[in-house]
Amino acid sequence: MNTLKSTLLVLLILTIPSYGAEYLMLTEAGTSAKMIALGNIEGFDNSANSIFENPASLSSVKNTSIAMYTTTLINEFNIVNFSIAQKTKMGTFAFGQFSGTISDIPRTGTQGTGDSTRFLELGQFNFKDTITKLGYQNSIHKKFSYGITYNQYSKNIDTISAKGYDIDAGVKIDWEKSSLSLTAKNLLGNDIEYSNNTVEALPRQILVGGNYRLGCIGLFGQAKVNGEKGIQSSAGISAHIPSFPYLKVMAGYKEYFVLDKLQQGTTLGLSLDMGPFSLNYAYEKSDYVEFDSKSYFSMSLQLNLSEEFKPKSKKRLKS
Amino acid sequence: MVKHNFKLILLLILTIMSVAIPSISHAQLNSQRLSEIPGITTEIPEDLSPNLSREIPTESVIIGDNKGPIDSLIITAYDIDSIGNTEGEASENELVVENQTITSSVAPLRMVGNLLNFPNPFQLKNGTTIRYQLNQDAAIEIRIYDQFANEILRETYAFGTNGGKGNLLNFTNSIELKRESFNTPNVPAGIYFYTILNEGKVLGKGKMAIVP
Repeated sequence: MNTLKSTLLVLLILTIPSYGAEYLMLTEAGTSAKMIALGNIEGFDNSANSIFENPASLSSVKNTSIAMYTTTLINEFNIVNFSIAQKTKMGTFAFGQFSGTISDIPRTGTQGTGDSTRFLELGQFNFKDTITKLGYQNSIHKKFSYGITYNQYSKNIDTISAKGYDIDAGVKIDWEKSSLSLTAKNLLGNDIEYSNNTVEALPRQILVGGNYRLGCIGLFGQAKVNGEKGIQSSAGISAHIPSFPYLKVMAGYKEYFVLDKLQQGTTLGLSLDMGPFSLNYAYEKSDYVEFDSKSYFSMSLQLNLSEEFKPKSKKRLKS
Repeated sequence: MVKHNFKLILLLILTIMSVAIPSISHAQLNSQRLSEIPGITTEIPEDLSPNLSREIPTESVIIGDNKGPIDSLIITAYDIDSIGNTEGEASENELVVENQTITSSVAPLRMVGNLLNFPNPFQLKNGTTIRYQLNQDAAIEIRIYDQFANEILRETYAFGTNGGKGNLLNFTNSIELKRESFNTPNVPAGIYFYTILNEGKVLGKGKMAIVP
């Protein structure tokens, strides 16, 4: 209990917000379809994707886990992530990369002077935003896990590039029917430095989430302090359909910031869990005039490599 | 054998008739004498040949209540008999306009030329200007979205004012965007999408890049 208190205190001290222009993190719109379907609840994934949420949740990885997520927003912004985690005797190690790209953005210039000035397209450029994470998780106790990630941020807009790094840390406590997740993101409060000698501050975030399991129903809740902007809350529910044991339906309510304004939204989703393979889909309404909805897909695979290969090879040798 | 061929020929004739008859009535239904169309003011081309269509210049054409110019007007020369059928040879005074052509050729509101913002990329402290031309006056709305498809700004421009003015005399609409436009200093670097709309219909869209 003292460990928990100390951890909470350290996290709270480190997440006192700093003031300045904030960097827009690519992970803000969600890191997996499952998370989005539950209203952007973070910290309760059981796959390698936990590296983007609460690294302490990597404790759910049994041996090897691979996860992927993709979506395209406004038919222009292609988002994809990939993560892999391996459990070892020394703890669980993970790697994840999250990237978003937009292409064919016009670079403009002018022709003529005065009233006859015309805008011209001189060429096109691309946009790329990437977060690369290295993670580590271990458990102090069967019920108490902690994790940490090193985050490398990079962004390219035409000829301007940006780089920066920071760390996330989290703890997760599991009881028989419930779990508590506590995550602090960008603990160092570092700046992202642009090649035009400007900076944006990485937003310090602290997330506290809870999960309660009641038979085939899972209830989720979360409060998130989002940098300078304020607090946003989320709630989610998941339920197994009795006649389709592999299928799970999910719904969520979320608050999120658009610039400095707090907005609300609802989400829906489906999860198909077939043993080690899980396929997820999330849906939410979109503000965008041409597409009234957003769709997200993610999948995860739990591989039992050590169990599959080692015993078999031994048996073959014996025979 | 003869009976068999006769049946085949009969079947062929019936098939041709079933295709041909509806197309004739379609042409009659969609034709109208030029002089019968209210408000139409244009000159009939002198060299219009019988049973041929000719696209005529649209600058001088105004049809009824449609105040804007039209995209195209196709006039077809037909002879019209006493009961209104469009058959036989054409004469200069019996020109018919295809109704359907007029209805569909009234110029819809649209952008003329490129929709661009300059500079791009840009810093918010310096701002950027979105420029576009419209083919006629209209009430215009500009919506700006962040890369996650969240709407961050919506501005409206009245019919005939800057933002909603047609390109008569080559007028170009210029919309300036600066930090003050967003009502917050915290607009992060990234790509933003803008759309130009009229009554919810997208007329044009573009991408702009904000750098810090």
